[in-house]
Amino acid sequence: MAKLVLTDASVTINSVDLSSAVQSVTLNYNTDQVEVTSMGDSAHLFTGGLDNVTCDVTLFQDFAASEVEATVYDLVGTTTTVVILPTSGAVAADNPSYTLANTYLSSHMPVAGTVGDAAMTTLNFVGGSITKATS
Amino acid sequence: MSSYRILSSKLAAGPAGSIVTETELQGCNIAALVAGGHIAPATVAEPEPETETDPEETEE
Repeated sequence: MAKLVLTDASVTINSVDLSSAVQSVTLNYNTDQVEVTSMGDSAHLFTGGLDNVTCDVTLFQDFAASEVEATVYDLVGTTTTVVILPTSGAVAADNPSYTLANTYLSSHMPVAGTVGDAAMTTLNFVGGSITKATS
Repeated sequence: MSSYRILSSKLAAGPAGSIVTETELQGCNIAALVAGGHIAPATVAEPEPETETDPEETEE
């Protein structure tokens, strides 16, 4: 199993491939821990609760037609689908796809940066269901 | 079912110029795709209305 350096991750937001504008992507997959400790137990016991998925994507901002701003702006406050792969190659066991469906775009920063810096935006997706595919 | 023409080359649903249906865009925010200039509603050419002939004119 080869170690992977992320250089070619694929990020598709609302069916639009924005990979070439992505600086970083982080997909967090958690499940709520629900305590079920009861009388007679000698330690805390937990069971899995609701999935709690978040996804943060940092992109180089681009105001050209059909690019980052045009794609993202109208998604704020709505739900969509985000698909992430470690590389842009075909979906396979060593390049699984993670589909985040019905995820809510809670924030987008159309203009953010310091003088001399590249204009960036960070998108925060929360909620939705996650599916992993290997073929 | 609504159909849309793909306008941009960044859409995973198909190449620019092709037609996709609402079903093929399931899970996507279609309004945002339209607003972002990625797709546009596909106009379907309506068939020409048939010309009605007056039966009295033809009866002779």
